[in-house]
Amino acid sequence: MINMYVLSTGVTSMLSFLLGLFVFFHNRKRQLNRKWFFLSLSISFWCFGYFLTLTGFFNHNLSLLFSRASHACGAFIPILFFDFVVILLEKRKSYLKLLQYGYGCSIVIFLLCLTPFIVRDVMPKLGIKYYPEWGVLYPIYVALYLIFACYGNYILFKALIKAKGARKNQLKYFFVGTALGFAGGISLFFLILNIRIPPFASVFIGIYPIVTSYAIIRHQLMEIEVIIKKTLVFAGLFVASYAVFASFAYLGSMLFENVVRNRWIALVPSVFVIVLILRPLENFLRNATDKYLFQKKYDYRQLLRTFSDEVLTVLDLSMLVDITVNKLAEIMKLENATIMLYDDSKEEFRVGASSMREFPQYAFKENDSFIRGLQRNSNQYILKNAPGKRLKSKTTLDEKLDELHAALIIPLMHRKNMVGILSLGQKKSDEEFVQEDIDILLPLSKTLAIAISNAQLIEKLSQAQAQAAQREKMAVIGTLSAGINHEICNPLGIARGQCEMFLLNLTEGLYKNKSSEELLDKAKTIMEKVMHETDRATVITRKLSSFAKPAKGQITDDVNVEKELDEVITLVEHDLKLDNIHMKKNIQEGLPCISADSKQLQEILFNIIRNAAQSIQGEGEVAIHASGNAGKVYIDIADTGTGISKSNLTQIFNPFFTTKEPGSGTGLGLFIVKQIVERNNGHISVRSELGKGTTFRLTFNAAEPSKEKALGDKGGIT
Amino acid sequence: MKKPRILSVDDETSFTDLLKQYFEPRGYEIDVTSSGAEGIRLLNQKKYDVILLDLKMAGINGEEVMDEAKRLDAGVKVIFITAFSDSGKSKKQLLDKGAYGFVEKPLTSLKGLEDLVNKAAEAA
Repeated sequence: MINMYVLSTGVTSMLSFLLGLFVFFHNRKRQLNRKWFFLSLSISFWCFGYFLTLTGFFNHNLSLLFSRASHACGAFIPILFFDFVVILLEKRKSYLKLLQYGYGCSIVIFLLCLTPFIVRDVMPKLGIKYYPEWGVLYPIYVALYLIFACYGNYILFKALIKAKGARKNQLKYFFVGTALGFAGGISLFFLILNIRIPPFASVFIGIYPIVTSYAIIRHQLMEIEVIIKKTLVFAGLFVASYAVFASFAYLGSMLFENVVRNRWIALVPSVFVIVLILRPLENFLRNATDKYLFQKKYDYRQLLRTFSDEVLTVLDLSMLVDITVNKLAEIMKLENATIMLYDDSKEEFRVGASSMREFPQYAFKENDSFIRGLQRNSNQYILKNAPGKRLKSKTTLDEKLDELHAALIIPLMHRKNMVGILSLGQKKSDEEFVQEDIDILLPLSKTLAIAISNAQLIEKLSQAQAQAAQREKMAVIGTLSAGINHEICNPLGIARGQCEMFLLNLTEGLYKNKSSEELLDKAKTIMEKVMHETDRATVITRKLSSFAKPAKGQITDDVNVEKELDEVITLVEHDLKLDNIHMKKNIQEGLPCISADSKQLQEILFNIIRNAAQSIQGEGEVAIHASGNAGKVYIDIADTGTGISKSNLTQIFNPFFTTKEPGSGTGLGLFIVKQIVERNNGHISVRSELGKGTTFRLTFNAAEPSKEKALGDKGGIT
Repeated sequence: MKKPRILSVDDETSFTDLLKQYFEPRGYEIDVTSSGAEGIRLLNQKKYDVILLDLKMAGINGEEVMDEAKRLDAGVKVIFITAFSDSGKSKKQLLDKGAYGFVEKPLTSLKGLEDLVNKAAEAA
């Protein structure tokens, strides 16, 4: 049966060779890559020699030759590894002397390997047909190996502790990879020195080239995850293939022992089975590793779904950015997410929302070098510790990112304007952002930028609208103030006058001929008058305060149209009378209540009546007629005013449309009225004729009579 | 000296009542009415020294009453008792038309009004 050690050396040899080539061609000009290529080559030849020796397939002399050649090639592994480490850590200059000695020693040992002083012979050991036997100088070989491997790993470990962020992760994986690889390599020595420990750890050698190759190419941790995944899949395939082969070999030896001597014959059915199961098995393993080992990876489909369904539809700016940062942090499992928004008035970028509880109050002026850097950045994003030359500007940029607790920064661009900055913190898993993340985040940021500028636009519009509504309210208050003066101040003035008169009459002796009974009578009359006047004032204040109260906004009331109309009429009647406008009210008997908000109905009626009155020049009439029919209640407000031209009629419900003199009307009245009517499930329509007048028709749903009332009615009939 | 004759026109009857109750016992001759038209009718019948006018009234308003009063008797003194904040007319406009004075509503002193009436009558 083929030995596990044989296979691991064979596989490592092949892998190391291929990966070495891969790294080399990835960037053959880079010293690090070249050094890695030689190291891989050295490892590959070393393992290949071992493989050929351990198979026992060749005769003794050949096997010995292979073993010696293997050792010769392997002699360069320690020094090449050490060289590679110091290049990786950018410290090669400090170790030049040591490297020279190291390469010198390695060449000497390389030559010695061709003599019997290193590998004396090959012989059967622990069931292996040909295993190297140590020569007198073998300890030197081991020493060289140990010195450079340990020292290299030691330097690596020291750098690892000092390193930060992505670099730390990269070094960490590299360190683990090499430590495992060397442990595997060392495990081969024991048996050579006749210490009866089987070279079980040699399987680790295979992990070494895989882990490190990718670490070099990518410099990013996320890729390591991919490598681990691939390695696991590969290991699974390898174990399965081996199991298939082993079982056929075993079956063959059991059943056909007498017929077939050569166990390699088992390869034939094995190849068939392996070819059959390979693809499904690979898929299975890939899914399994994804499912069980990389659960922590976020589901980008969920991210996209959440964003298109829940986030980007939000129109409220602060809500939009707030949900965005929290959803991003939640789904992508980030330490934090922050959005900075551009503030027009201050010309700076300020934090709009952050998932961090300690809200960082950063603000960058528009001309800040950081902001300008972002705008100039052609990459569309800035990744912390990104590979590339460590320029001075880059380190300051990294410092800025540190300040923001950011690992990735994406400017939110909309039509060449930077509307904001998306800053994402480290992933909670401590992994790096990779191309896959960026590929999702970039289009997402573009849509986010559009959503933000839309929300900003709406915010500006609604601000203008709110201001206009405020002006409208002030105009309403202006209209009301005449009523207030009349209805409150007059009664108060009269009440005061009554009291003043009584006191003056007393002091001026006008009452001196009166008996005390007559005087009391006088006082009684005056007090009654005072009470009457103050009552008048009280009634109007009550009505005013109830009118001014904000509407509940919920349609819960069954509203009596006549009652609300009367309330409004008392507020405007006086004013209208002064302008020689008569009010006529005609309510159908038994008019059903409507389901609406009573305050909002008052507001609607008030605004329409006020508009109607304003359209009347000179004498006129505002007639209100309410009728019900088939579950609907119609309220018609007709005026004898100037009327509205046909071209204007289509526009009167538009915001900011007005026919009034500039400054006297904001044009929001009817726009707001329409909105309130619709909020109450109502409908407003208008007909008008120039010179004759205008009629507004309000249509509301009649409230369904409550059960009690219905029962009461029935009771009335019987 | 004879107390001035007063005409009060105000659509607020409780206000004209108050004036009548105040001025009459003090020896003034005072007529009150709540409409501008009635006021003009009275002006055509009788001679008054001082007219107390509300500005904003339904029908014929205070300004129109003053115009008519001045037409009938240029020497008559007109005092407006009104809430100027919402009259829409500036005091200056009314003074140019010959108004004698103004009293802001709500009235804060009957005595003050009486003094103003006497001053106006003396100025005649």
